[in-house]
Amino acid sequence: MRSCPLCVLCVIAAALCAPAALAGPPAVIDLLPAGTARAGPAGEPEHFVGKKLFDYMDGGAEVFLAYGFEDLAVRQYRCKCPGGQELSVAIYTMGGPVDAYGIWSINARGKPVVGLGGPAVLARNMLSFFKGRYYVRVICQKPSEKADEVMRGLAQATAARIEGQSELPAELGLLPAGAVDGSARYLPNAECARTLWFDGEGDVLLSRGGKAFSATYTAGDSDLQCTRAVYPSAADALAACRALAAKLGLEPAGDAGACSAAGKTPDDAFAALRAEGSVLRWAGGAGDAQTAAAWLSKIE
Amino acid sequence: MEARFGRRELFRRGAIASAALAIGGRTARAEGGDRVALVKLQGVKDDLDAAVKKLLSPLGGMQSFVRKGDKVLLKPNMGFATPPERRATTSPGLVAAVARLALGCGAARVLIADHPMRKPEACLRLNGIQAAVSGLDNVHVLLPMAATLFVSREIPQGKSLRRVQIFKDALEVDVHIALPVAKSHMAAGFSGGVKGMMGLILDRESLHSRCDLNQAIADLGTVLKAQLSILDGLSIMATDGPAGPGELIERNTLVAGTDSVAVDALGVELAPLYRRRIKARQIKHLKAAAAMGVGKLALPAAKVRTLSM
Repeated sequence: MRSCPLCVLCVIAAALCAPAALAGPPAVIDLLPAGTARAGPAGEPEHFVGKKLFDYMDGGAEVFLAYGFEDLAVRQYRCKCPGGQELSVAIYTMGGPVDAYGIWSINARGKPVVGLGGPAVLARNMLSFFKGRYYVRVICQKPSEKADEVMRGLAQATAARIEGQSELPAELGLLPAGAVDGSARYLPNAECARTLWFDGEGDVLLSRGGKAFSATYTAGDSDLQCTRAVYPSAADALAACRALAAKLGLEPAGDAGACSAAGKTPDDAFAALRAEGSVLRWAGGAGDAQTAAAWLSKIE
Repeated sequence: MEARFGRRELFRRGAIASAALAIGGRTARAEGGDRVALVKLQGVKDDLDAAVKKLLSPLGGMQSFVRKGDKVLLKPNMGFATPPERRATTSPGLVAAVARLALGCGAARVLIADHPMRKPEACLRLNGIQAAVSGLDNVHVLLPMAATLFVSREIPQGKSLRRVQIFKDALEVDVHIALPVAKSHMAAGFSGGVKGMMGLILDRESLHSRCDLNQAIADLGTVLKAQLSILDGLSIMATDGPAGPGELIERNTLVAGTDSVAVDALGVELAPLYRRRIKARQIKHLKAAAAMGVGKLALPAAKVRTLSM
């Protein structure tokens, strides 16, 4: 057999590169647990990349993509118990840790679960958490206390395979205290705000590169929404403020370099908003003008 | 359920189960003048056969829509491999009740069809619809997936979607009855009968990724219309739709009508979606459908009835 010098060089180069490749982040499919004491695998893992997410979930994929979705690994498991109900573990690789928080925050109302290395909730038949840039959903077909325990086991087995810890974004601390549990959201673009505002307010708010945190508060009989958006520049914040005021039917006040507005909005509620520097603060859905102004002042 | 195709044959044809209609079919029979066109029935519990009869009574009953020898399409939501309790899919009991009523009016065949997301076997096993109609003769549950089962059709009025591939059998039925479940939808806001027509086309993904989704749904509505729409509002997945799991809100309500847009519009306001009271005009695909003349967001009071069990 003749040896090819170029081939030999290639083999040596590949051997030298291999350790670096092995040291990289694990493929998401490798993060799926092999099983737990109470649940074993029931099928092979599946992998969906980019827009192939539509093949997995159809409607709803848009919002995952808006949070920087890269790929998904999902696998079915079967409970080692009478009836043997099926469960699934789905691990979504998102754009970054704050995006993983963002997608998790859409459906974060439920019973808090500890010990998973990041914020987690259990609601009905789903346990969800985020850790690093991964968003994880463990789902059972029929909720029960026993199923909850099996889901916890699968969640713990999954969390153990994902390195690091996760915490809620610090920016949430700039919103007023006392938000309705599980109502806080991270909104990096308009697509992520589709289920929060239905009249296109999100398109206006999150134009010009704005990224926002928002949460719901109970104020009297009203569900009030406090939002803090940050823009690349003060000029962007100013323009967004004016556009949002116009969208809400409010007359912006202030000179050329400032923007604030307050008053009754088309939904018969009251709102107040103000741009300062590169930040736009907005309190909407209040029962009266004073309440809107008071909550606006609570947004840092 | 009559075994029209063996299990293997169904897969050979593209995957398990189905049928549908659209461009063609018989025109709606309960329209014009002050005839009732929209009915809301509250307090629905277990007896869905009685409930559906009562619901359709102001519309002239099922006999106003189905005649002897008709081939009837029922288009429920059944494309998700989830159990009925999740409410991503139409109540199996409701589908069976409507199928029985259609057969009772002399329907020769009842096709129950929806294009599944994936895993048609799992859909059939989990969503309970096949099991619910298993004792009925001349009822076929179909989940078409193969491209050969669809034909290309132009959408003359289409603004965002101008050509679409529609499930062939859907073009051959006499009567098309939409049977959507009312639920939240993260991309479209709400999913009902108008959005549900996407279950009769081959390539849904392109509506999401290459079209303006809301306009494309409205465009599709100009060529795919049900003569009768029966909306399942028994329990509504109010968050995290269309697949869930999401928060469920009991409403024990059914809505029926000859105008799918008006039926959906009523459905939008049955329960808060995403914890917000949303108006039908805020759902972009319904607003677009109304603007294109597919239906109306609101009907005159004389055409609307509210009943209780």
